[in-house]
Amino acid sequence: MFAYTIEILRPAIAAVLKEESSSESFTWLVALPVPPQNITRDFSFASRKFSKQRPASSSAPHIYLAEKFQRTHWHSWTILDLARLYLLLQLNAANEQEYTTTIESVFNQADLGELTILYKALPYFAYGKAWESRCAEGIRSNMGTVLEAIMYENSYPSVHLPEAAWNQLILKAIFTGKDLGRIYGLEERNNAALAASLLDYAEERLAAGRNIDAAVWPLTKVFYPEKTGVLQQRFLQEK
Amino acid sequence: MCCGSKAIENRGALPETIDNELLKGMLFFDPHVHMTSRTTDDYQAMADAGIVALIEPSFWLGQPRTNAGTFKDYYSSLLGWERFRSGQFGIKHYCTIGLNSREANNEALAEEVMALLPKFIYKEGVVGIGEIGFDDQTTLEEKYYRLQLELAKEAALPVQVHTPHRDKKKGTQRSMDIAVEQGLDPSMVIIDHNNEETVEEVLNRGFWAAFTIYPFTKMGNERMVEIVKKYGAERIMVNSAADWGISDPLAVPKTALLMKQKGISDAVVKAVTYSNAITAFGQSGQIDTADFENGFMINQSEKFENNSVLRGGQQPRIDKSSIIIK
Repeated sequence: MFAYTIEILRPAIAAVLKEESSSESFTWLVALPVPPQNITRDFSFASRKFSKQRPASSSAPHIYLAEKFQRTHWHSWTILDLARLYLLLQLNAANEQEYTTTIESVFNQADLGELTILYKALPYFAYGKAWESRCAEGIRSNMGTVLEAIMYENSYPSVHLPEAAWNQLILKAIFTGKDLGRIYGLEERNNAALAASLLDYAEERLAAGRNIDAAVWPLTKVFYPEKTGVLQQRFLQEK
Repeated sequence: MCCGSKAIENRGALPETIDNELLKGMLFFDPHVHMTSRTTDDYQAMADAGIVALIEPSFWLGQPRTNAGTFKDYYSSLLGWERFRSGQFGIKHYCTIGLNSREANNEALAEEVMALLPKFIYKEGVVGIGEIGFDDQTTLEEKYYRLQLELAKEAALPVQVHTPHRDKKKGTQRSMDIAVEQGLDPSMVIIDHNNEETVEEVLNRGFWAAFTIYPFTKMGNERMVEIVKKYGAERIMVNSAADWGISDPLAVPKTALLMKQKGISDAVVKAVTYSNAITAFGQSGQIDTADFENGFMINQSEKFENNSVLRGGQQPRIDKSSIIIK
């Protein structure tokens, strides 16, 4: 159901929250019924209870969390983000259909901040396979914050996305000027179709008299070393 | 012959263009503007003129919606896409959520929309229930106005009240009477679209009085200057209500300039074009002026490693004077 040990993550997050929020807010959160009865409302309401500051990364609970779940860049999560993840972790995951329908309904009426944390939380949802199309949908977004939530230090896409959706993610990241260095799985998921698309894109850029992110060359070189070399030269000459 | 308004019709002596020099250092908050209907050019012009934050009330989209799903998506877009779009131009976007008076007349639909509202009003940046109130002043409009006042009370949110175009004075009085009957504190209620006829009673009864500077159909800003001269700054605020009609998203800065030209003090100008709106809607607990008063920082919650120099994501500017488009 879960691809990690939720029994470790849940208390680890609670420990950070206990340290970082008022006792009134923390009590509100942990006193909510389990599973949450009104997740869409409480997910929003949490913003009135928890701060958008980052937790102190030097505290013992935060260090523990970062050590146990190293694939997530917890330093970029706010206290509110953690509280919302905590709420999501309280959902009853026994029935896949009910569980995914509930989370989808939260997605469907989320505001900008909520969307961002929902996508950041993808690796921690049960039934990993079930979120492929949701993740692909997020990649179609034009909201930079949403794209970054999926692309940066998020282990979901490289593990679960089918090749076509993965390639869209990389192409979109380049097209929107994202830092490829923060995307997990760049090398492992590299493929010939992606490399061919990137070379086409490079030619387009060249024709338009525009530059290109040099991070594409290591991806194309694996499959098309010669063409990559030629194009790199042409970009240099254009300068 | 009446009413002294001839004098302000004499436009000869007034500036005809915005002088950006005079706007330097001034900040504006437009507490009523429908950005969904506006272009990127408007956002850029607003940012250039010093508008640092705005409130987008939910309203009627020009034709009646036929199902609750379109309301849900509309509310989501105010909280998601439009908030993001505004941020790209350096303007902090807030909104009010509500069922507008026109569409309150479709009872079956209104019931479904009422069921949606509690799922949206607790979201971040929702600074009130609005815009609600009367249009035709029907029984159904009253029913949903009352229900939404109850909701506002329960959520401890301010209310942004739209007053009707037709039979305005009576509609405004009735809106206030009902708010008091429902047990709302007038200090939590912003009565919008006032004019010379309504302002006195609104202020005397302790409500906030908002004025919409909207060409031809609502207030002109020369009239606004006279109102501020007469009533001062307390509990008065100016907005543009710019939407899909012929309206002006720069109405707030333009009115500020005109007030300055007419000798109104900087403190008063600031109160009616910036701080009063923040005080009134800030009662929601959702406005933190640090988010915009020193320049809006896009994407604050996503800062990497607390790197505060990150101002990325703002839209690149195009050179509009050039016929070449790169």
